[in-house]
Amino acid sequence: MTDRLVDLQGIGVRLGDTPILRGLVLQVDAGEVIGLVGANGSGKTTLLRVVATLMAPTSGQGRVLGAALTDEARFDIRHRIGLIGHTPALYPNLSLEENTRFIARLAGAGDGMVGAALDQVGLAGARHRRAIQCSHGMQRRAEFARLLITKPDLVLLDEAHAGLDRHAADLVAFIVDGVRSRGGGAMLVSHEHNRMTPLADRVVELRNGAIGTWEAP
Amino acid sequence: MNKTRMLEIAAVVAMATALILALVVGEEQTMGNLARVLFVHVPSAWLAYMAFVITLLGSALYLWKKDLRWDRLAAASAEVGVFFTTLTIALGMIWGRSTWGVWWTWDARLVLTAVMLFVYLGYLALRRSIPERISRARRSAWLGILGIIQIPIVHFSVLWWRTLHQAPTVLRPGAMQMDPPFRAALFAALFAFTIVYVVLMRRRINLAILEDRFDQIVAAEEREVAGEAITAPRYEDAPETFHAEAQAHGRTRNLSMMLPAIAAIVVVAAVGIVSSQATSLTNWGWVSYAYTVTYVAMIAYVTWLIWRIHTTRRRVEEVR
Amino acid sequence: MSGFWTQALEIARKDLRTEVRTGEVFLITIPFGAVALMLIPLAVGTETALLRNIGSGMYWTIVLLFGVLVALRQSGVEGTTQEDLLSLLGIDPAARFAGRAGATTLLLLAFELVLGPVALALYDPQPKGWLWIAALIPLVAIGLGLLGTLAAAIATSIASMALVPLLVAPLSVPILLAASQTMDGLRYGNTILGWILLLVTMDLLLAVAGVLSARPLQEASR
Repeated sequence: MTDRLVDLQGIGVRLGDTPILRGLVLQVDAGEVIGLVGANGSGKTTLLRVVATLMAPTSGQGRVLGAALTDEARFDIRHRIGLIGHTPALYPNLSLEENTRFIARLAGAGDGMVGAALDQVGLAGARHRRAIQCSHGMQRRAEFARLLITKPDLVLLDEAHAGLDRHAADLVAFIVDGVRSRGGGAMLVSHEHNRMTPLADRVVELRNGAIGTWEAP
Repeated sequence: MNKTRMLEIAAVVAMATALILALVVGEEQTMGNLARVLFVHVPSAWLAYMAFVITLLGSALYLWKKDLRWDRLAAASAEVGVFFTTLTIALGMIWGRSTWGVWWTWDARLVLTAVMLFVYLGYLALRRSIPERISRARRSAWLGILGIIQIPIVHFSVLWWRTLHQAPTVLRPGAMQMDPPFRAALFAALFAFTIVYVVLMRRRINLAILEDRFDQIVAAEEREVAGEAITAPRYEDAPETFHAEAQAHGRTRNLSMMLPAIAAIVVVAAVGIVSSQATSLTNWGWVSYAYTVTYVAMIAYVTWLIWRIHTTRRRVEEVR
Repeated sequence: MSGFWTQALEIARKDLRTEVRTGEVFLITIPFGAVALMLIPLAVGTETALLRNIGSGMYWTIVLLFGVLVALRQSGVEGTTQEDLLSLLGIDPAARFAGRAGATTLLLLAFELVLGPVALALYDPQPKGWLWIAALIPLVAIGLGLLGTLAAAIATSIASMALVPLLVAPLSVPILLAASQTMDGLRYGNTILGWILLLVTMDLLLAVAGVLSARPLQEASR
C-alpha cells in the first residue's frame, strides 16, 4: 500500500452544465484524518463519491489507494474503501442482524463476527428489529458495525455525526482510531465542528468547488 | 376446560354428525351420490357470505364507535370469510367437474364468488401493509364497507351479462328435490359449519389480541426506555464468536395465517386437476375428494392458528 | 472477499427473504394475475370452444405481462445507496446480475405454477404433452427473469423504471411465441423442437448479455 492514500490533482466534476468541483487538489496520507466542511450544496458529498470511485471526474487526475480514477484498477481497490453516506444503505425489510450478516458473507468474513460487531456498536438488543423500524441513529450504528467487519483502509463518513447521541458519537472516534492504527486514513464530513476537530489532523473547507484552508469560527 | 375448547369439541361432534347424515341419506333423484358434495359446498358458501356481512357490520361499528374490538372482529371475519370462499370455490369446482365435466362455468354466482374472493384478499393485503393500528382499522373499515356495497352491483352486472348470453343449461342446486332427510342433512351441515366458523373466529380474534398486546408492550418499551435496547458502544476488542441470545425482541409480521390452508387447497386442487386429466373418478371418489379437501383445510387452518397463538403467547411472556 | 457463486447466492437469498417479508409477489402480483385471467372471458365471451382455443395463449400473455411486475417489484429494485454499497464491497456486477435474475426467476416460476391451475380451471385448454410443458415452464421463467433483470439494469434510475415494461414487452416476443406455439404444437401434433430450441437460445443469449453488460451498465451511471 502506498503512503499516499488519496491524491487528487485538479479534479473537476460537472453535472450537466453545472460545475460542482473544479480544480480540486487534495491529498490524504496513510494515518491521516481529514475533516471536510463546507456550505450546503458545496459538493462535499460529490467529493466523497469521487474519492470512493463511485463517480468519475470530468476533468483532472486522481489516484485512490494507488489506482487511477479512470483506470480499471479502481474496481480492484473498491473493497478497501468504506463509505457511509447520509442515506442509510440498509435493506429496509431485513433486520439489522440480517443486513449485517449479508455484508459479512459478501465480504468473506464469518457469521460469528456479526453478533460481535452489533454488540460493539450497542445494537445487540435491537438486532432483530427491521431496519425500517429503526431510527436514523440506529441505522447509522448498524453501518458502523459494517465498517468493523470489513475493516477498510480508507473510511469516508458523510455527515459523520448526524443523528447520533453522545455515546454513539464516540463510535466515530473509535472507527477513526481503528483505521488510523491500521495505517489507513479517513475523510470526515461533519457540521458539528466541535466534535470533528479533535478527531482530524487537519480540516479543509470546500469553497467554490475547490479546497481551501478553513478558519475555525 | 375453557369455552373455546368446548366449542371445538362441539364442532367436531357436529361435523361428525353432519358427515354421518350426509353419508346415510339416500341417493338424490337427479344427481345420485354426487349430491352429497352439496353438504359441504352449500354450507361453505353460506358461511362465506355471512362472514363478509359480519365484516361489514364490524367495519361500520368501528367507524361509529371507534372501538378497536370491532376492527378485530371485522378483520378476523374477513380472513375466515376468505377461507370459506376459497373452500367454496374449490368444492364448487369439484362439483362442476363431477357433474358437468368442467372445472368452471361462467354463471353469475360463480363469477361473483370469485370477485368477492379477490376483493377480500385485497382487504387482507391492505391490512398487512399498514402496521399502525388506528390507520389500519380506519382504512380497512372503509374497504370493508365499500367491498360489500359493490357486491350487489357486481352481481347485477354479471347477471345481466349472463342473460344476454345463452342461459346455462345446467342443473342448479335449487332445482333439486329437497325431501326431508336431505333437508335435515343439509341443515345439520349448516349448523356444524357455523360452529366451525365460531371456533375459527374465537381463535383468530384471540391471536389478534395477543399480537396487539405484544406490539403494545414492545412499543411501550421503545417509548419509555428509549434506547435501552441500544446500549453504549463497547471499545474492547470484539470477541471472534458471539453466542446469540435465545429471546428475540423483534417485531415481525408473518405471512397471513391462512396461507397454509389456502396453499393446501391449492395443492390438493392442482393435484386433483392434473390427476383427473388422466383418470376420471367415480361418484364416491368425487365425494371423498370433496370431503377430504374440506376436512384437511379446516384442520390445517385451526392447527396453524393454535400454533401461532402458542408462539405469540410465548413472545408476549418474554417481553413482559 | 467471497467468490462469484457465493455472492450470487447471497444476493438471491437476500432478495427472496425480502419478498417473504413484503409478500409483494404472492399477495399482490399473483392474485392480480388471477383476476386478469378471470376478466378476459367476461370481455370476450364464455363459449367453451373459444376459451379452450385462447386459453393457453392467454396464460402465457398474462405470464409475460405480469411477469414484468415481478421483475419490477419493490424488493427487487435497489436504490443508489444499496448499489453503491455492493460496489464498495467489491461485488462482481455479473454476480449481482446472476443473483437478482435467479431470485426473479424463482418468483416467476411460482407465479406460473400458481396461475397454471387457475388457467386450467377457467379456460379448460386440455393441454397435452405434460413432460414438454414441465420443461417449458422453467425455460420461460428463466428467459423472462433474465430479460426483466437486464431491462431493470438498463433503466436504472427511479424515474425510468416505468420504462421497463415497454423495454421488456417487445423483446419478449420470441419467448411468447415459443411458449404458445409449443403448446399449440403439442395439441395438434406439430413439431415443437424448433420452438424449444428458440427458447433455449433466447435464454442463453440473455444470460450472456446480462453477464457481459453488467459492469458497463453499472458504471454507465457513474
